[in-house]
Amino acid sequence: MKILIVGTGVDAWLTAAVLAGAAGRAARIAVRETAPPAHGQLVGLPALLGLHARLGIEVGAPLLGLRHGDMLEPFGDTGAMMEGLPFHHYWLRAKAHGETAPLEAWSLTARAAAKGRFAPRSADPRSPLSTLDHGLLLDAAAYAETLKAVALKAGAELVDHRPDADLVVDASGEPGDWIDWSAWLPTGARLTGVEDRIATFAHDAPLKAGRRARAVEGDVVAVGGALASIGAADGGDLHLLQTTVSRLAALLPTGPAAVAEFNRLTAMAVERARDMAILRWGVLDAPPEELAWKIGQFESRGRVVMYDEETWPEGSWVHALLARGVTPKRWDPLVERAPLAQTREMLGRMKAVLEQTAEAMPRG
Amino acid sequence: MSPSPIRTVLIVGGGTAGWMTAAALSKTLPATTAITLVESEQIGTVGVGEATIPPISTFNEILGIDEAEFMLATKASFKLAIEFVDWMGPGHRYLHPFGAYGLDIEALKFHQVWLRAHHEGWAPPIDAFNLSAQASHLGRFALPSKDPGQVMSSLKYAFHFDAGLYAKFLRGQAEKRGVIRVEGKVASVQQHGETGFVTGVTLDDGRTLEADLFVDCSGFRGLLIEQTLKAGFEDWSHWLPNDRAVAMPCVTGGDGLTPYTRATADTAGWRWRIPLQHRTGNGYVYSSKHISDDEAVARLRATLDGEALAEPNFLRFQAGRRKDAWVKNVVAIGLSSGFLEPLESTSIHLIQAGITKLLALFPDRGFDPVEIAEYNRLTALQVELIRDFIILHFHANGRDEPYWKAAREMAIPETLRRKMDLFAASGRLFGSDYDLFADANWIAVLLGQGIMPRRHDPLADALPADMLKAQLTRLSTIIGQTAQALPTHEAFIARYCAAPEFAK
Repeated sequence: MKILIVGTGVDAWLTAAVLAGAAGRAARIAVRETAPPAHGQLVGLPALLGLHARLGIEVGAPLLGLRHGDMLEPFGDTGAMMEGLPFHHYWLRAKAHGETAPLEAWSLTARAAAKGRFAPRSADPRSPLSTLDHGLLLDAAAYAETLKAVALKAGAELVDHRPDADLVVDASGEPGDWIDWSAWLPTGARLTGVEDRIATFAHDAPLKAGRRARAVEGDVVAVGGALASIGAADGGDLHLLQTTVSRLAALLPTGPAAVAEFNRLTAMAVERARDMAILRWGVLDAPPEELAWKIGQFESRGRVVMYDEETWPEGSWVHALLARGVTPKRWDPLVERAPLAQTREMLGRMKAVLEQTAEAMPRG
Repeated sequence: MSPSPIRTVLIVGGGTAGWMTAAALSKTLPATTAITLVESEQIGTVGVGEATIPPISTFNEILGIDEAEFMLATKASFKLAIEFVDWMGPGHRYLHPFGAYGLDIEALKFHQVWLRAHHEGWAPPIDAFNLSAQASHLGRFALPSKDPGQVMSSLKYAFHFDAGLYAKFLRGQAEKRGVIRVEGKVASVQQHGETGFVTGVTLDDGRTLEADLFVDCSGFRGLLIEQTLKAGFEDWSHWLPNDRAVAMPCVTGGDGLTPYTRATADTAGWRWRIPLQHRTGNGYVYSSKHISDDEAVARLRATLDGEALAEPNFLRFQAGRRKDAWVKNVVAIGLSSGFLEPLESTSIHLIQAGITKLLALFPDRGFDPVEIAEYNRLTALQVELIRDFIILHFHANGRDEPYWKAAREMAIPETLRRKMDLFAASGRLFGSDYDLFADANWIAVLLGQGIMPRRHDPLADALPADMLKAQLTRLSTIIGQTAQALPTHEAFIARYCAAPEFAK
């Protein structure tokens, strides 16, 4: 099987690195580089670390969270499930009875960021350090170069013509036949700085939001900026690229059934990431149906609906919903099995342990 | 912020659904919530679903149930698989085992590697790579290891048990935790004049029971959800025409105490065989349009592998789901919420899934419609995925009778069509997070029902053939040896959970 990737930068070289690594001798991967990689900084979500481990690369600087406006969204876990119920229900109850600390006071990642500390996530589930997680701040051009080296080493070829191929990947970053989402997303996010390993964003980047009607058209499959544009410089864009490419490696959509499935799953994934972009900085007057449902469910009782093909984990949704002012009318009634005093004491104890743990982490 | 908590719950109907609900609610709701269950000894319970699937252990764990004690009380045996016999024609058989096949090689799914070996003509049967399947073939069992590094951790199991005894066992637990059982038959239902909410039920002796929340476990008829609240029914009989079953237990004979359920295709339906410690449960699920009750019972009798222990028990049903499983302040759990034939042992699981969702969305007296809508969305999604899985067995058959020919020729749901086409092309599967059945389950039945992918993932060709052969041989050898080293199913039960009637 022959696959030709046409495009530039991280879109092209992440695709090439993943496909060449997975295919070995089974497929020939050619890359036609159309332009030098763009400069700038990229944000990667924690899930990118798993891909880097498979590719055998260590790049970028750790990031502990995101700041949209005044609100901090730490990576990693916030609090812990208790009696099978998500932590934020206990916090909501305590808050209604006078608790003043914000939710992120129970995030070790956030506390470590505030104290200028850092440690990698622990694999031992009993350690508070297992609740840590971090994303990455990447230099776009250097990252593309690293991925290019990985891809070429794994057997991808650089070409300057357009050889025959069974599948062509459009990694040009150029929009195609766009479904227009600009009413929901008139602008995109823009990285304005990084402080204490927290990336801060403004929401004034010019954007022509939308997605291609079909990710695969004929023998051409679009990835990255050529597939969709939601202005998610906060890690959403790069994560969508990552999941699209893994889906591409898993499906190699050449027959009609595989093409249909690729298009269906990719549209879902893009739309779920879009929903988060709208929630964070978009227009919420008449949100897409799935997002409206999600907001309604959270407003009613703090429940987070997770659909198939989500980009952001449940914890990110909790922070983002609260940040946008979506406040649950009540918490899960099952938290009331525990007496209020006991819940308060438990929250106090957890907070103290996290504070001490963060204090004991190495500086740097 | 919860100014109006549910104070009282009335469960209408006992049986497996009623007592599973009572046991779970009494364990998880605040102690201040009063739970009452009304049932009548005059109304029989169905209790056909004597085979279960692995998530039942999670339910038992939440309830704090000791496994050996529960198995002894319900005369249970272990279940590692379902054996499907004659679905592709006389003499054909395959296993649908619990647990996964082999080990994925990085991003490459194991079954793709197996498909490559198959296409090259040297693959051992895929069962060789599943420990539950190997143990089933050998009639062996032991509890799996909790250490994920051990091969024994890949053994997945569920139970065969007497559903009536399970209900009784759970009743004991629920009553200990304060659930009040009321004996009586519901004669009438009272509703609020304006809202239509159910306010109470009156029993035939004149007593009235009121509650904030009602759980309808009344079975097929749906006393509250349908007869009172007219939720409506979505009929699936055009896909699943079976509408009757006849059940009859017998003395265990034949293959004995198999650690698997057997589902044998027959002229106009299929027969189950579920071995318990003290007897074997049997039944014939059939379409009344294709054979008569007399023919069905005669066929069932002729195929028993031991002396019959009771008169035939006939059941009627219709495949489909209640359009809304939760309406106003009534939640339907069990057969009142819909029916799918127990081909994949999902009846008890659907009860469990209903209870889990009710707990996740437990209301207050405001009964927020947003939450009710979410319950109904999840219920529809989950049950439709199970429906597709069951339809697959019938549609992809290889038999000659008119009943089977019709199943092969019928139009199937688009969601299933897509899944089958994709698998048939290149063995690919993309499951939904909402699907009870994982890729391994689908693979077992798709392959078992004769859908062999035309191609495999080209990435599987990247592995050198010698290395692949060595790896697969090593894997199947380890799995085979692990299964061989297990005690027999009988021996394990004898020392772990034998009821007095267990003769072995």
